[in-house]
Amino acid sequence: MCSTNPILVRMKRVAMNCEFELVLCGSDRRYLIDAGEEAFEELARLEEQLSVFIPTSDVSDINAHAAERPVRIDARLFDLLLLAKRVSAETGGAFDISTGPLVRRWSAGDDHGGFSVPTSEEISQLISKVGMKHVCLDQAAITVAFDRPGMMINLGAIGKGYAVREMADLLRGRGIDAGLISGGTSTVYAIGHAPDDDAWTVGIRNPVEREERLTTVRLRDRALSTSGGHERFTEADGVRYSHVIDPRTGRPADALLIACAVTSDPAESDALSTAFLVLGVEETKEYCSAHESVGAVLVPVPAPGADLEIIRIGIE
Amino acid sequence: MSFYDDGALSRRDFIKGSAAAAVTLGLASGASAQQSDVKEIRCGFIGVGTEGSMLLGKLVKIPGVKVPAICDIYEPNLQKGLKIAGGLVRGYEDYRYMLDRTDLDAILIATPLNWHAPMAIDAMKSGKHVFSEKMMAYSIEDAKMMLKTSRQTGKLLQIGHQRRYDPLYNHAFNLIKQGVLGKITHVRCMWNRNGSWRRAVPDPKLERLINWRMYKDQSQGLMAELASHQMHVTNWFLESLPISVMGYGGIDYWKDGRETYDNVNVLFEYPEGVKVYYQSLTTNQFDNCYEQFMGDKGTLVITTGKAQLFKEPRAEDLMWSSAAHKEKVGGKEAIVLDADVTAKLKAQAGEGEQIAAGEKKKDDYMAELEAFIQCIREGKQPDCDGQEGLESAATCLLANQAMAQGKKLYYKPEMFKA
Repeated sequence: MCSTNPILVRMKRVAMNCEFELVLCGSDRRYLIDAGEEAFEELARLEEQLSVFIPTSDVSDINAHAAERPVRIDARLFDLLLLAKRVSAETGGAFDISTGPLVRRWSAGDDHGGFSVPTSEEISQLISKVGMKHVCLDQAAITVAFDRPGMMINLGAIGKGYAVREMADLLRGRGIDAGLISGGTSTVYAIGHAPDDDAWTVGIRNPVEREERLTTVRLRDRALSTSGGHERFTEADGVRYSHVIDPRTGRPADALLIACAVTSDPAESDALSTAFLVLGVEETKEYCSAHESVGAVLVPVPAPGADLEIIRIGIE
Repeated sequence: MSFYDDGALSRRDFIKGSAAAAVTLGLASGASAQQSDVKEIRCGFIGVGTEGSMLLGKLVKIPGVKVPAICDIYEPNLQKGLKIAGGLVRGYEDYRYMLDRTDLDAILIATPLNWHAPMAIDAMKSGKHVFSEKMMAYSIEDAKMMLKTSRQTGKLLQIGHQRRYDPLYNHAFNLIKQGVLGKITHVRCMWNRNGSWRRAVPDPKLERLINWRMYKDQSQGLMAELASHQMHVTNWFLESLPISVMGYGGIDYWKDGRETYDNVNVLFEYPEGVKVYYQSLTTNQFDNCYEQFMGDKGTLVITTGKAQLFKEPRAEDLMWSSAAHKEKVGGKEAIVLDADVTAKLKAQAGEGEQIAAGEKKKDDYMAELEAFIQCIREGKQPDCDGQEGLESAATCLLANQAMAQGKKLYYKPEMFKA
């Protein structure tokens, strides 16, 4: 569709607390807009299903009831939870959708309303309510259950990528064979290639000089996801505490400024970018060597006065 | 005399009104029931396009519901449906083979409009209860046949006007019944969008299948797909049926081969001089979607998820309004209705009386599906049964005829009866 008389249509929609953007390539502008609108309808449906801020969402239902009884869910959502569990297992628990109690403590503060660094006892207590091993997925019944009270899941680190994947599948089904789909600054997926190129070139923003581009990655039928601990943090006594928490230690992950993952599945890349941020350089290298189809771009926190170092793993 | 002395609307009644809505709905709160506690209901689902797949995704979550059979003539949709249901599900291209199964209690239908009646009638004759998406049927005669078949077979027939199961709409209806708006003289309903309403179709051979809403042999256009919901609410809230209708519609903007109107502007006359104006546009989304009931004491503006009451200046204060949440809308003070208001008022009332807590917020699609399943389990008639479906369908179908003929048409009582 994109090879003859190419037209590019750009469309935006706010969802999941960020801006989703489509760049669709084809020969019929009206057709591209209709397809894009349908993809945004799917996005709206997914937000209603996945958001923890919508009381009627499936995720809210899970959080409200899964500690009492198995909750039957849409099999597509079940597959997403299976993916979350697999990534968690493969990363040694570095990715975890159940870190809510820890994240809330490190970002919102203590019971008295102010921020204080949690004590080791507090962290141990909170960690007992965290972990995918406590999220029980029954494949035959298509249900999810928590094996203890106080748990919650939040798909914030995988949901946007999942939405991008579902939108890409829908657009492909409508015959779109070239385009870019992005979910905020979290995940971008390339369908096919740009009209005048054999891939799409996607930039990664410099985490320090935010107006500058740090590097680029070329994508064709692949996704790039980025996670950064530098964007959301709590500052106390001159120390910044990232809101990205290492589920294994219960403490902020602070070795990397940003971590990017490249895979063919946007949902997986979204989850892996968070995992890599937690794993750091060496463990991410180990992961990528064991998973050849996965690439990474890592930027460690520089020593004072040093330049940013860009580490590319499995990506040209 | 205070404004509502005669209408017997006190703050306590307001509270009870909210609780009454929950009772009327009879919802299972669902979800707290263990699967083993309830009778298993096995459902077949026909038509898993955009609307159908959304409904299916909710249906499978209801405790005790199994969906072992899914039918769609469009392979990508069928695959999507199988993916949503998960587990052991058989896919069908021809719904009649699905109806041959004896292990299904109910059939849900979310197909193009012209298929609602034949599928629903066949399903009921094969011993299944039926939930059919709105509008009930392509023609008044089709809708009557569905209703007659339901009576003859004793099978339940529920029509998918989900607002009927929305706690907020039920709460608003109870307030109207108690006189909050005074005498309702006018109603305005609209559902305005800015978009072609068209799906991108990868293969021209699929055009009429995927964009069925555009073609007259399958669809009744905006009056069926959008207006039927709001005219259902209008008939329900006014507790009456229209006398006459006139209007203008046209294919005036999207000249893309479609056969159904891209804009409708209709005026209905109801008993006692009540006028109802309905508008649906596809070129301007200003005001979007709501129903507005205008009485001599106040105005209700309601849509899914939000309802507001505006007091007329000459009306006295509402006795309970001090406890209500208010907001400014266009320079006017609006009382925001909340189906969950019971708990809030209870806290403020300090009366020490145990009142049913406000119902958990749930979406109206889920509520209507839960109610359907509960009706099957308990052998009860659905609130939004074939009769209500017929009334809404007849209201909208004559409006289409009035626009097509360019003249005022009168409803006959037999149009609303089967």
